[in-house]
This record gives sequence, structure tokens and C-alpha cells, in this order.
Amino acid sequence: MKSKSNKKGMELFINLFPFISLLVVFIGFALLSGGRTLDINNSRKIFEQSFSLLIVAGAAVFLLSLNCLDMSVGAAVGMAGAVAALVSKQSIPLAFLAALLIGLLIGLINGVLHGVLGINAMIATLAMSFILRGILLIVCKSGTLGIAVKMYDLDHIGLKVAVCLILLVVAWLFFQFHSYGKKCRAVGAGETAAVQSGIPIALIKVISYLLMGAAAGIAGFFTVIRTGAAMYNTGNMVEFDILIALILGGMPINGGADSKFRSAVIGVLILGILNNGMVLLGLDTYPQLITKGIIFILVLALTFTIRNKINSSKKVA
Amino acid sequence: MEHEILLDISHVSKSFGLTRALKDVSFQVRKGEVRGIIGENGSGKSTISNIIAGVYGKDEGKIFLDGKELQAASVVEAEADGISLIVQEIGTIGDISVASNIFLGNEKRFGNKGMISYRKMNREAKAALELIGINTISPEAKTDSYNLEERKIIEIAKAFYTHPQLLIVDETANALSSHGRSILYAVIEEVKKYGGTVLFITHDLEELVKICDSVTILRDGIYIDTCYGKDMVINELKVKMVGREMSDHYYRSDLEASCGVQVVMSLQNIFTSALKNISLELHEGEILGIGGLSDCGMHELGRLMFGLDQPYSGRIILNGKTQKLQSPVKAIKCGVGYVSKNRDTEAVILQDSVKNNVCLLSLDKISQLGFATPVKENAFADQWIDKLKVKVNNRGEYVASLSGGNKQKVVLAKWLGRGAKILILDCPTRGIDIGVKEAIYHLMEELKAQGTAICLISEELPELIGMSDRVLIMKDGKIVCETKRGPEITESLLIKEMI
Repeated sequence: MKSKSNKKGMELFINLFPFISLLVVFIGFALLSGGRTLDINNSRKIFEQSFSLLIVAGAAVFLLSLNCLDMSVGAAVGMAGAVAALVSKQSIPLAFLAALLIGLLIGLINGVLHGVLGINAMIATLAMSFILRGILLIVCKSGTLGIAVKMYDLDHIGLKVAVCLILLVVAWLFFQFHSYGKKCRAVGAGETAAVQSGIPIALIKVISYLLMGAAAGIAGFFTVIRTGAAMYNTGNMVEFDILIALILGGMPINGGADSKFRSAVIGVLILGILNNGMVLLGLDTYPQLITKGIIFILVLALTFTIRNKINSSKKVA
Repeated sequence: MEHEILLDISHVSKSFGLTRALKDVSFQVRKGEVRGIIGENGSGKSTISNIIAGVYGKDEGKIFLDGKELQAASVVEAEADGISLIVQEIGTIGDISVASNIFLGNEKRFGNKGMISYRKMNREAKAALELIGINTISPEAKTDSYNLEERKIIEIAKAFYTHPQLLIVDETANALSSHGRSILYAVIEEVKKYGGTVLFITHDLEELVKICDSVTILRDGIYIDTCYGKDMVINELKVKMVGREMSDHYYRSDLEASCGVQVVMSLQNIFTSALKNISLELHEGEILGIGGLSDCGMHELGRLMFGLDQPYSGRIILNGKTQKLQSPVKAIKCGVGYVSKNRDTEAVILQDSVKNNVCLLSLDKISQLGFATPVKENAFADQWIDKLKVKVNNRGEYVASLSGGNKQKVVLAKWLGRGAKILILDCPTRGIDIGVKEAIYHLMEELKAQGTAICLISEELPELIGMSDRVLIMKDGKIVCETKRGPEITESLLIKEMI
């Protein structure tokens, strides 16, 4: 009887953990900063900073539930940003389209490398990120690529909120209720069994990388609007931020049936408040990085061990 | 014969989450005794052996070995106490050498200033294998390079070389051919001779009666009875296991072969690395049995018919049209279903709910434009859970927590829900208790009556003879014999063709 209540407790803890973390950072930083984080301007700033990450994390849920990684997404955001900046001088809708297309192209290559050719996802996408950063350096000539002045008109909070809401709701519907989302989770939970249940694994993986690419394209477009220019390091570390956010949000590191879409939203919120709070408290960049790394490892270790315990207690002889 | 008690199990209980696997189980086993343990899946027989061998801890109760209380918290500790376990599933590690597997956890024996002497280890491994009469397995070779049966034999050598006081054999015979079995029986005999005790867990009651001196029956985690010597009567044991009278024959009762005229699937001159010039026809409403030794190519044949493997040459014709089954996706589109013999890794997703497993194959049927409401999914899952009487607490329960028989019911629910017209069943009753077995046989008859074509690949001859309209026997990748259903088919006749 003890082990029964233990397991129930552990499951409850795993499910509540993201909400508790959110509450802790929210209240914690509000207290530490003397309420400055709650300021309306600051809340707006947190959203602005989290906007790109939210969009990319929404797509990453599909990939991570498949137990796939994309280490090139940061570079893809940078690449899409640079292309958008270049094309913006001709036409802004065209710039958006170009950013989207370059993202899709990168996604397609990643999808074929891993899904069709079966190259390890981490290695393939890491190599991809080197290639993209290399091209970016050449294109930017180590400087910056400014955007067309008209493009600043799009730096509008209402537009961003709308884009973000629409994309996230659509993604959530597909992840939760569409066959595609269900198949992603099934593949993550047991690839061999999924193959024998008639799931076209290669296709599912290619679609998921395409989705990730499209999200990186949109995020790149909006990122350069905010910064005013594309640089060789635009989108730097986005791939790690996504991982940290999703894990903080309660995503199992190996994906599968326990993957939930809310991990993306909650995780990005936690990370946004954390980043913002550390800046407000006057922490330098390097201590910030160290803090994030430590939190990531601690949360990963904690959730990973607990999930393992829950799963092993499910196995009955 | 000595009559001293070796193993004394006293009031042992154990729970896994919600499931009470053992409830206050007590029994004793003497020195030099070969004790069978039987029970349906989920009766707790594997749990008790795993507790004795230190794999699991127990919640309550005590276990004494030769008068001393057992406190082993791990397999290595139990080994030091003189207990060896041969597990049900694969118990060797694939990418290390045979010798390393045999001495896994005991490498220190070959240590010298922190370095392991592999020469010495290989020499002793060779001796351990020769001890059970095996000289065809090389200690230096990677364990991967051997098949399932040889890997089981390696485990037997590993368990025996220490000359354990207590040897536990957990459903090992299933994976063995008659040659492998004779090795296992010789080892059991040897242990008995030096005064050790054997716990022998099996589903095969005929084997059990032959090998064991006595048998303990468990049901739903409760100790039922122990029978000795002449009291071990198969039919009575079955009744005690299931708790109700079993119909004497649970196979088909009709003695005549029957099937529709239409050929739904045919193979013509198929060659692969494992199959040589295979041609066969499967009719609607027919149960086609395929038998042979485990490496005869019959499992590969099943994979090929489902598009998991590709032929070098030859044709596959489905419903009159030549088809290229490049993947299971295509096979399923053509109405083919497949139940793998490796249930836990290939046929079900363990870390997912019963509901999702059942619905996965039929998502396109349940959904509109790809979307399905949870209400619709739940109704679909419930319909098939009910139809197959899958024992679950709720549809959200993970498949990992079900017993083998119930997992298999989930697999069948998937395919029946999909509505496959051609079903390839590879060892569908492997490691399943009699109750579920009977249910599966009834289901096959029902499907046959509805016109479903079934290809039954099986290592159990009684099952093949009992269920099939036609039996094909394979050997070395070729079909060597074809017989129609009839009273003249006997096991010995088929065995002669197999070997």
C-alpha cells in the first residue's frame, strides 16, 4: 500500500512541478525586486523577449515528443532574419515569405537527414547549425544587415499577441487532437511498435522538422524587427533556451505519451521571468548563464529520476 | 533422499502500484527437490522467483535459505548466497563477449592489480560451457552473434557454473528447441544429484509433469496447493490454476478443413536471405498454420508478408493484384495485420495507455480531417476493450502494467478495431496463460467464420494441429511439407519433417 501512495504522489509532483516552478519564480522575483517585475511595462518586456521563443517552442513540442532534437534552430532563426532583412528593401510581405521559405528549406534538409537517411538527429542538426552560422558570417560580413525602415511598423504588441495566440492555439489543437500529434507521441513512446502500427515514421519526422523550420522562419522575421538588424549571431543559443524551457515546463526529455503542449507555454514563461528577473537584479551575463545551466541540470536530474521511478513501478511481473 | 528443508517462504507479500502480486504466500521446498511453480499470467509466479533471486524486494514476510534468513538486495548478493536465476526474457547483454556475460558482476575473480585477465576469464568460460556439454559457443565471440536459443544456453551455463544451492528456471524452456531442452534437463538433473534444489516455472504442464518432483500452484498471487509425484495430474492442475473446470479441448472442434474459394494473398517464388523459393496461397476464411524450428524462416516469412522485410525476388499478390509491400503502411492499406512474436517491443507501446494503443491503428477511421474528439476515441477504445474482455482498471492505464495475456488482448483489439482481412499471427499465445489462450482460439474461430484469412505462425505443434486448416512445415527457409487438417496429422509426423 505504501508503494501505491508513493507512486501517486510522485505522479502528482511531476504534474504540478512546472506550475510550482512558475509560481516560485514569479513570487520570488517579485519579492526580490520589490515589486518591479510586476510593473506593466516590465510584463510587456517579458512578453516581447519571450515572443520568438514561444513560437519556436510550440513547434519544438512536436519534435521533442518524437524524441528528436534540432540543434540548428538558433542558426535557422538567424538565417531567416538575415534573409528577411535583405529582402525587406524590396517588399515586406516578400521578406516574410522569404524568411518562411528559408526556414522550411532548412527544416526539409534536417528532416531528410534524420528522418529519411537515419543520421543521428543531434549530429545532423549540429552540423547544419555550423553551416548556417558560416553562411551568416559571410553574408553579414561580420557586421550587421539593417532592415527597411517601414518594417518597424510591424513592431506592434497587438500584432505579436495575435500571431502568438493563433499559432499556439492551432499547434495545441494539432498536438492534442489531430492524428499527427498523436502519432508523434506514439513514435516517441515506442518507435518499433509505431512502425508496426503503420505509422510512416520518416514522413512524420520530415513534417516535424518542416514545422520547426517554419517556426524558426517566423521567429527570425520578428526578431530582426525587434533588433532592427540581422547579425551573425542572431538567434544565438535559441536551441538551448528551448530545451531548458520545455524541460522546466514538464516535458519528458525522451518525449512519448507523457508529452504535453502546455510545457512550451509554461516553460517559456518561467524562463522569461527568470531572465528578466536576473537582469533587474543586476546580474551580469556570465552569472546568468551559469545560473540557467545549474537550474537546467537540477530540474533535469530531478524529473528524470522521478519519471524513471514511476515507469519502473508500472512494470509488473 | 534427504528431507531437509532448503527454501522456506513464510508469509511473503508484494505489491506493484495498485496490483497485489503476492498475498501472504508460504511454502517450503526440500533439498534435492525439483519443484514446479505454475499459475496463470499475473498469478505471481515470476514475482516470487524474482524476490528470491534478489531482483525485487518484498513488502512483508520472510524467506529462509538453509535455515538462514535471506536478505539479498541484489542479484549479485543472492548469487553469493548460492541462488542462480535464469530469467524469462533475454538475460544476456548483446555487445559484450560470451565470457563477460557469464562472469558479469564477478569480474573481480580475474582481477590482477585492477586489470582483468580476459585470457583467464575466457578459459573459465569455456570450462563453464563444457560443464553443460557445449563446445560450439566461443567464449571470445560477441553474444550478439548467437541466436535466442544459444543465448539462453549461455545463461544456463552462467547459472550453473557456480553450482548453486538453489537454481530458479523462469519459463526458459519456451525459447529452447528439443536440443536446448535436453541440456536444461541435464543441468536440472545434475543440480538434484548434488543435493541442490530447482524451482521450475513454466506454462507447459506436460513438460512440468515430466521434470518435476512436485508442483506448487499460485492463483492471483495466492498460494493454492502443492501436489507431489503421482498427484500431479494435468487436468486437475489446470482446474487449480484457473479455478474452474476447463473444457477438455479448447482448440477447434470441427475435424474437417474448410475455407473460401477466393485466394486473398499469395506468394510466388519468394527469395530473401532467410527464405528460399517460398510459394503459398492463403484463402479467405482459412487458418494457415506455419511451423518449424525457430530458425527455419517462418518468423521472417511473417515479417515479409507485412512489408517489414523485402524480397530479393518473387511476387506478392493481394486480392488478385501484384503489390510491392515496401512498408507496413502499404500492407495495412491492403488489409494485412500483423502480431509480432516480440510483444513488448514491437506489438504494443508499453509506455502508453491502453486507449492510445487500441486507437493508434484506426486513427484515420475515428477522425474527421485528422481530428478526433476524446469522446469518440474513448468510445472506440471501450468498444474493443469490452469485446476482447481486456482486464484494465481504466482505459488510461499504461500497457506496461498489464499481464502478458492482457497485453496480447490489447494487440488483438488493435487489429480487430482496424478490421484487417488478413491476419498474420506470429506466436500469438507465447507466454500466455490457458484462460487467455482459450479466448484467443475462440476469437480465431470467430474470425474464420467471418471470412478473415489467418496465417498462424507457431512453435507449438498442438496449437498448429488443433487450429489450422492446412499446416506448412518449414525447414532451412523452404517449405518441406504441406498437410490438410485431418485426424491423421500427428505431432511426431510433423516433427520428423521439421528436423
